[in-house]
Amino acid sequence: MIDIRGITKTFDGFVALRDVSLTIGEGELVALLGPSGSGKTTLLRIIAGLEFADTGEIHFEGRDATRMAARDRRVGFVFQHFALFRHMTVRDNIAFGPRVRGRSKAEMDERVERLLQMVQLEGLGHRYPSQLSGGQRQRVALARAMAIEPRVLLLDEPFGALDAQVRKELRRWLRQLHDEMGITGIFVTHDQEEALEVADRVVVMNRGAIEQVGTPTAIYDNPATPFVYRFLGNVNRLPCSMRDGFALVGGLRMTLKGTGSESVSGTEGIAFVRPHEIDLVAEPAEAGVPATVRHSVVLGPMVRVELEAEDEGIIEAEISRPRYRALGFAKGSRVRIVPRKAEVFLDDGRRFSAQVLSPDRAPRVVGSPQG
Amino acid sequence: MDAALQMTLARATATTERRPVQVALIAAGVLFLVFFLLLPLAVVFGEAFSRGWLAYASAIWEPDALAALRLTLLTAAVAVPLNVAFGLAASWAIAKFNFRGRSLLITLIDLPFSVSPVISGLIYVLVFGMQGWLGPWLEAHDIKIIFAVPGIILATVFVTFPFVARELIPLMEQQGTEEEEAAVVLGASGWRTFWSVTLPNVKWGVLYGVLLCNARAMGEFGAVSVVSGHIRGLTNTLPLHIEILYNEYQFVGAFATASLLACLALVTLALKSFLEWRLRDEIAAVGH
Repeated sequence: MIDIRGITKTFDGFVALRDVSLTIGEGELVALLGPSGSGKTTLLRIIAGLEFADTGEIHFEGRDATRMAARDRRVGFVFQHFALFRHMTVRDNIAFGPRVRGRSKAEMDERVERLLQMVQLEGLGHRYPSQLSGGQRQRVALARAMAIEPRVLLLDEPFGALDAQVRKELRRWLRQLHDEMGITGIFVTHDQEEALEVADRVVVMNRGAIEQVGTPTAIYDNPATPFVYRFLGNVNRLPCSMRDGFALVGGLRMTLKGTGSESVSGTEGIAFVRPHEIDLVAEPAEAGVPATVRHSVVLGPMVRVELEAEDEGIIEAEISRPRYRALGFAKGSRVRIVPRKAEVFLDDGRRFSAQVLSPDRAPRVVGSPQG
Repeated sequence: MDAALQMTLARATATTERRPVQVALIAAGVLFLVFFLLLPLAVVFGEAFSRGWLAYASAIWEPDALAALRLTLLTAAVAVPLNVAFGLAASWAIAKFNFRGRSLLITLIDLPFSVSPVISGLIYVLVFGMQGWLGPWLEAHDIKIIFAVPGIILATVFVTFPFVARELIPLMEQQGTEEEEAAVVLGASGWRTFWSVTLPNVKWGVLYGVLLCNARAMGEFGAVSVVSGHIRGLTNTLPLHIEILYNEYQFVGAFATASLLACLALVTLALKSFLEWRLRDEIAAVGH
C-alpha cells in the first residue's frame, strides 16, 4: 500500500503539486490523468524518489519513505521514451537491476529468460535497443522494471511515444499482465480513453491538485467538477439560467433533480451535454439552441454532426444514421439543438442533473428568458 | 510504384544538383584537399628523404631529436589523461546538473580557445617565472617550473583544456539524464551509474576528444615556446626542435623530424579509423 499525504512541490516558484493526498491499495492499477502541467508526472517521480516533495510524506506499507533514496525504494519505473541503456543488449538491460543488486549469475539468467518470455521477446535478447521497434522497446523497458521484483510499477506516459495501433495492443496487454501478476501499478496519461480502459481507478488531476478519484465508470458517469467533465472529452457547454427549479437552455425547459433543486431561481450556470444526448430538430422549431450545420462524419451506426451555434461556438452532436437521413440536413442547414439530458453547474458552485421530463413527447416550451 | 519508393526518388531528385554543378563542387573540394593537405605532406616527406634513407635515419637517430621525441611523448602522456579526467568531470557536471556558476564554468572551459597560445605561455612565466608572483618562493624551495619540463606540461595542459569537455558537453546534453535515472531506480549507486551507463554512452566522444587533445598536445608550439627556454636535449619538444633545425638551415633534419611528427598524427588517425571500423555496430547503437 502506498500512502501519499499532503505533498506539495514547487519548481522555481511554479507550484507543481498542491497538498496532494492519495492512497493506493495493494494490487491496484491506478491512472493519473490530466493535461500537461497538471503535476501528474511530478507526483509519479516523487513516488519513485526521482524528485523530493517540499512538504508532505510518502509511506510504503506503513513505513515512512519520504526521504528514502530512489535506489532503495524497490520501484519499477518505465520512462516515456523508454530510457533503455543504448550500449547494452536487451538481455543486459533486463539483467541490470538484478546485477547491481548483487544477485547470483544463475538467478539472474533464470529471471531474464522468464521476463523475455513474459514480454514475448524470446530470441531478441542479443539485440541492441536501436534494432527494435517502438513497441518492442517499450516491452523491454517493462521487463527491465519488473526484473527487480518491484513493490510498485510506475509508468510515465507508457504508450505516448507509440503509434495508435501498437498503443492499443500494448494497452490491452498491460491490463492482462497486471491481472495475471497482480502487481500494484500507477501510470500517467493524458489520454482519457487510455485511463478509462486500463485502470481500476482513475485520479483526475488539474493544476497540481486532484479533481476527482474514482472508478472509470464513476468518473465518466458522474464527473465531480466542470474540469473533469470537460477533460473527459466530448462534451458541449451551453449557458443556461435557472428559474423556479428549471434550467432554461435556449428556451427549452429542463427539470432539475436533486435536493434543493425546487427553489433554484435567478442563477446562471453552464449545462454540460454529451454529444449522444443531443437531438437535432429542423427549423422552424419552437425551442432549442439555434445553430448551423458545418460538417458531418459517419462513424459506424452514428453520424457526428458539427454545428456552429451563434454564441456558444462549436457544438458536437451524435445522432443515429436513420434519424440523420430523416432530417435531411446539408451543410449550412439551420437547425435547433435540443439536449435530452445535461449536468448543470451553477455559478454559485452547486450542481444538478437536468433532463427534459417526457422525452418522447415534444419539448415543452416557455418564452425566451430575455423576452 | 510503391509509395515509399516514390518518396525516396522524389527526395533524391529534389536534393540532387545538376551534373556540371556536381563536377564543379567535387573538383573544388579535391583541389583544396590536394593543395592544402596532400601537397604539404608530400613536400615534408620529399624533403626529409631528399638525401636518401641514411641521412633521414641519422637525422632522427640523433640524441637531441630523440630527447625532443621523448619529451613530446611525455607531455602528451601527462596532458591527455589530465584532460580526460577534467573533461569528463566538467561535462558531466554541466550536462547533467543545474547549479550556480554553470555558465561561468562553460566560459572558463572556452578560455584557452580564445586566448592566443603565446599569452597562455606568458601567463605561466608571469606566475612561476623568476620575476613572477611565485618565483622567489619556488627558487627558495629549489623548484624549477619555467624553462623546465613542468612548465611545458602546464602550458600544454592549459592549451588543450577544452578538447574533451567541448566534445562531451553537447553529446551528454543530447542524451539527457533519463538513462541515469533508470539506473538509479533499478538500484545502482552514483558511481556505478557513472561507470556502467554514463561513461559507455560517451566513450566515442571521449575517444575523439583524446585524439584531438593528443594531436594538439604533441603539436603545440606557441605556449610551449614561451615557457621552454629552448634548451637542446632538455626542454625542446618536437615542434621546437624542428624550428631550431630549420633556422640553422638543417633542412633534412628539420623535415625528417617534421615527418616524424606527421607520422604520429597519421598513426592516431589510423587508430581511430580502425576502432570505428571494428566497433561500427556498437557505435550505431549508441548513436554518436
